[in-house]
Amino acid sequence: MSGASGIYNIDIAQIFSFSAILVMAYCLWLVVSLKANVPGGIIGKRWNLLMGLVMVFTVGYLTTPFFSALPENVLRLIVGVIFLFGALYVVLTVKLIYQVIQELTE
Amino acid sequence: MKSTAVVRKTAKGEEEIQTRAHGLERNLRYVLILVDGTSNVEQLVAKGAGMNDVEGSLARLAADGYVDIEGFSPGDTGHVIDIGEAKATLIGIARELLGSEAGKVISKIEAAPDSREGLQEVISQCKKVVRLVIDEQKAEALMARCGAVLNSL
Repeated sequence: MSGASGIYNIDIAQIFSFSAILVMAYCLWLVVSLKANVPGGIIGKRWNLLMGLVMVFTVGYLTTPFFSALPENVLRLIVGVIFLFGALYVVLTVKLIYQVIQELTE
Repeated sequence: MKSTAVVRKTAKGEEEIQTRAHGLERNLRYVLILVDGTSNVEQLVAKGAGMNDVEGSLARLAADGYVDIEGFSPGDTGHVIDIGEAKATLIGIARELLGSEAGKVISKIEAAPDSREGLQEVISQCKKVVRLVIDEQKAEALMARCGAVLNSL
């Protein structure tokens, strides 16, 4: 979906991309600022990994406005990397939630 | 029981290690194995950081005649302290073990109900909090040392 010209010449994909960057930047701020509350322990160890992954996502997401200028093979690589780390993030989060539940219910 | 008191095996303790003649419970046996005749209570609690309530176990071993603890008589196991004194001791232990990260634990102990069961429940919750967000080993040490205090209530 494209506007006719000028300021309206932004497609829906760009809107999603910029929104994603904003949300990920907020997520980065969140993990960094909350780190002080989770210095160690089961959550603290995982938190460092999650923080690293959010940083990777932030860098990856920042490349999305330049996707149209990137060669297709580079583009596919970036998307593949983001998908892989996204999957790792989900695994880590699910395992962490399960560990927390175990701790609280034992 | 003073934390600086040296703990030594008695003849009965040595015999139990050699022969298992008295069928000592497993956790008590592990604590008895730690007793080397030179370590004091504090050092043994540190050595047994992964075990539950080392100090309480030492008191039981002393009461049953497996160890001698300097300046401690088996009757001391029945020493009763009041809730306020126990809370203050627990807060001191939390400060000592967790340092600047003790805030959450201290506020939980301060807000704990004034009963032995209430304090036990809160200490158990504190252990979980420490395990999750501070340090797993410190959580075990906190539980062991606080358990010994609660045993004297």
